[in-house]
Amino acid sequence: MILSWLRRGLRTGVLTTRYPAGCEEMPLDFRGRPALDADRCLAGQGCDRCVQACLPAALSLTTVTSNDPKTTSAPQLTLDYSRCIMCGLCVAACPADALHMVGDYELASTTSDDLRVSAVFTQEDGASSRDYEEKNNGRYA
Amino acid sequence: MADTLDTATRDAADQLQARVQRLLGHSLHIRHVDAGSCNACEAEIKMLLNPYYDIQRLGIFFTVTPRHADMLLVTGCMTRAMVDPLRQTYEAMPDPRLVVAVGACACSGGIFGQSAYTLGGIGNILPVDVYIPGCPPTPLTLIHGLLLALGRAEQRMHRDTRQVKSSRVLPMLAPGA
Amino acid sequence: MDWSLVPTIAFWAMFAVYLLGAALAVLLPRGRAITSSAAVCAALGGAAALVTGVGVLSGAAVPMLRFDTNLPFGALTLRVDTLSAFFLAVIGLVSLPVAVYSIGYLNAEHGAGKGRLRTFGALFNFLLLTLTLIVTADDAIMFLIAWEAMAFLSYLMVNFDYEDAQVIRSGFLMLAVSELGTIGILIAFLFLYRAAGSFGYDALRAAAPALSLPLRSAIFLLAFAGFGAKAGILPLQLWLPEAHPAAPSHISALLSAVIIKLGIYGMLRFLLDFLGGAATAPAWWGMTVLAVGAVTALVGILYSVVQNDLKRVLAYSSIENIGIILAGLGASLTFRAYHLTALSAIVMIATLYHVLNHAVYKGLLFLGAGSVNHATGTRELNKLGGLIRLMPWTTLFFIIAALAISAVPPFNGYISEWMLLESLLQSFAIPDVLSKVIIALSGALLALTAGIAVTSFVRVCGVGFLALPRSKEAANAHEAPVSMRVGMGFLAFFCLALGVLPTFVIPALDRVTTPLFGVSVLNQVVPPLFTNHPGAYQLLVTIGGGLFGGFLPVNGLVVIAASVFSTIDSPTYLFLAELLAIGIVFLVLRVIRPLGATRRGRVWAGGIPRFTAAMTYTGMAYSNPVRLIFNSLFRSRVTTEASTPASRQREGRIDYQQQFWSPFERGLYRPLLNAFGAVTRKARIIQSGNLNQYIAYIFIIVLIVLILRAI
Repeated sequence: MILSWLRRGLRTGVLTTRYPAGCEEMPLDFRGRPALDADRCLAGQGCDRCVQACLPAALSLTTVTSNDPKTTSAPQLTLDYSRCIMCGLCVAACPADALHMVGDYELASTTSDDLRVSAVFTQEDGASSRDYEEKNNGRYA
Repeated sequence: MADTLDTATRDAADQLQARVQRLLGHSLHIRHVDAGSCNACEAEIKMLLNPYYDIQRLGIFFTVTPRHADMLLVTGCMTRAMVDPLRQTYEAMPDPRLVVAVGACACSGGIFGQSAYTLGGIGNILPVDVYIPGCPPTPLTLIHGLLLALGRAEQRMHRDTRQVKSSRVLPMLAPGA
Repeated sequence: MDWSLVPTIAFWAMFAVYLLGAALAVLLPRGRAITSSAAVCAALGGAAALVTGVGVLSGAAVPMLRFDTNLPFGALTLRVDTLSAFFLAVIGLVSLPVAVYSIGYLNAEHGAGKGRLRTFGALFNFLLLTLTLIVTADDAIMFLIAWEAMAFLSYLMVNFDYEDAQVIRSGFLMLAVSELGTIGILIAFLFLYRAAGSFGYDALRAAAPALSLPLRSAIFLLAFAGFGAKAGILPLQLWLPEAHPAAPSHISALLSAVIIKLGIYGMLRFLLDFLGGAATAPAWWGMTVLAVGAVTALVGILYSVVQNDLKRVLAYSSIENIGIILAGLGASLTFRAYHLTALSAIVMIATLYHVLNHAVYKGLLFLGAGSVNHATGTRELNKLGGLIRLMPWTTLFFIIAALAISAVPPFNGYISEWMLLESLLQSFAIPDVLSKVIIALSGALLALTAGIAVTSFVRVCGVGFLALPRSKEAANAHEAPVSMRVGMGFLAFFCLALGVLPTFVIPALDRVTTPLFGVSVLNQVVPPLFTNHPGAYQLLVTIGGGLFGGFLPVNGLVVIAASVFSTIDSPTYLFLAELLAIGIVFLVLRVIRPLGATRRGRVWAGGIPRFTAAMTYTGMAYSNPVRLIFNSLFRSRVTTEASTPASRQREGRIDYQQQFWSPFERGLYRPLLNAFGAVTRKARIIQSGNLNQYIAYIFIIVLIVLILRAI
């Protein structure tokens, strides 16, 4: 009886993870956190599918005053990780593939401010939003 | 809490934090309080003590009384009923002490948000030193958060505001339009 | 002034004062003065007894008192030798505060105006008188008269609340067992008388060594069983937990502290004085006493820890302490049988010290219980609580007594239990292996009982006095009147004094053992560190044992519980070290710490919003682990009844009942009584009611006697 305990213990070997002394490999379908690729994001053009899909209101679309003379009130998409429950519905809802899950697990932060990622969309030189508005009678695509 | 202070006070707070981390860096005793959680975070915290994650090898232990604790680990979306016991627990801890909010609920109220019975996270009740997001955060996330509080790990999440130049920017319409 | 006359004067004054007290109680007109005058006389008599006892123990001599009568038994004599003086001192030390306490207790609780207070006052004085007569009797007839009077008077005192049928039953049980014991004592005395020809102790002492060993063993067994019935040994202890709680509290204190010690006095008189001496006592005598004592102690304390009545806890604890004292006596007899006389005397000193200490702290415990009963009207532990705020003095004195009985330094229980256990451990000096093993096992049993005793008293103090009141009666408690506090304070003072200054007590005890064992062990037990030539104890002097030397009238302040320089202890220095430690802690907490940064907060209690009495421990819950571990002794049956809402985890009522199976009642007494009943039922046929038949019986018996005389 005692021998079988000893055998079992010795055979099991060392199971403990080496983290933080080494990286831990996560499974392929691990949902770490959603990452925002702002270049692909269509929030500047009025898309709010991820905001509507987000359960805990981690994603939000607000307007900020921008210094840019062409876009005085610019839309801002904020992803607040302190609210995120990593459900992945935003990833599924995004039409532009701007959101995808990354297997990042080192998420802690000393301030809640550091957990907010945002993208502000301003007009690039050339066109004017006002012109577009006038052309399309205040409607947008 | 540090994000609401000006630069000079923020430096002082950082120095204090460094001192605290030096004092507590080698061994830490944690008191956990459930301020109205669904217990998924507790299950993950429980996993920290199994042979796979084994935080005791890092010098981190759980205690049963706040009198012996260096750190208060809070889960749950801060229900009204738990405000007074949580405050009493914090008051019973001797200095230096740290507060860590675990899970989306403790950080910000999570999917429960602010309602008649929940206050939306513990940030308004206690001075939080580390926020650990997740629902629930995995044990590795928890280990990273605890070591971050002790100054033994680096913070990877940073505030980021990207300015994106778009060809076509449409102003937001008011709701209902 | 010739101080050596003081004990003699005090001795005569004692009798006079007791008789005066009885007379005043009977003759004074109605009013409050009856209880007070009777009690004051009893107190003065107690003081006189104490002075006599201490005087003789310090070396004075009291002349013998002799009353020649025309009765065929010879003269009635009283002599105060050192053994009698010790017990006189115990009687006086306890009866003085008990009498003072009774002034407030009887007036307040049972109210003036009852005719029985008059009778009670007179009987109280008579009872104390008989107690002193028992210990100073110098012949068997005086002893037996006083013994029977004491049994009967204590029965009457227990029946103070005779409206309650339970009280009458308990008192009667006590009387019955006491009479059974008296039969044994009487037969033992008669055996000795038959060999001696006279009833005086001198004659009995001289005749005993000439008797054959079987006869001496028979006398030993009879005396042990007879006096043991009074002391409360297993299996004759059933009356004790009934009678002691039933009596009014100061009588309970007297019963537990003094009267059961008279059983011990009788055993000492027989085993050490008559049957001791030059005659060799076989080792099995001591082993029997030791084994009975150890088992009594364990069973007593196990029952004590599961009781819910405050006074029953104390009564069972008395049984436990009697067991400890008997274990000491047994060890002393065993050592003596192996000719280790010095060690035997040392164990006896420890035993006598324990007798004194137990009298003091058990008396105080019962007086405290009486104060609680007087204030709240209940003795049930599960109804008390929170008394520390409402009755601070009673709580303080009760906790002092509880600390003393748990053998916590600096109180008196510590030094006597320590000495007993240490001297039991000296059994390695005995050559016989079986004896060594039995003594070692008994030592282990006594250590277990000491641990459970601490549990029992932590439970009583914690559940009964601390936390919150569990009932309206406890919430309406008030502090005891002044006389009751004075009585309790007197005993509390001695709990501390006897514990801190043991080397002042041990010389007196040595004067008791020296005539009985023939050797004085004072210089071994209290090494003479205060003289200029400590000899073998130079090491002790070097490490500080000579502190205070030169102006204290004792050998030293260090106690050694063996005849070789092995186990040492000094409660006096320990007390000073404790004061120093308390002083340092006080200094740090109150003076140094506040100079730095401090933050004051609430007491941490788990974060609960509000305390209610329903959250506190009950007595049953605290003793549950002991009940479960020792369930083979208790054979407890637990029945739980939950009302319908409660069984569905809603608010409702749950009744929990715990019943113990008594091994002595079921296993010993009931079969004996049934057998006795069967025999008497058969014998009843001779009772017919027919007068002619009875005359025929007489005729036949006379014929038989005449025929037998002729043969």
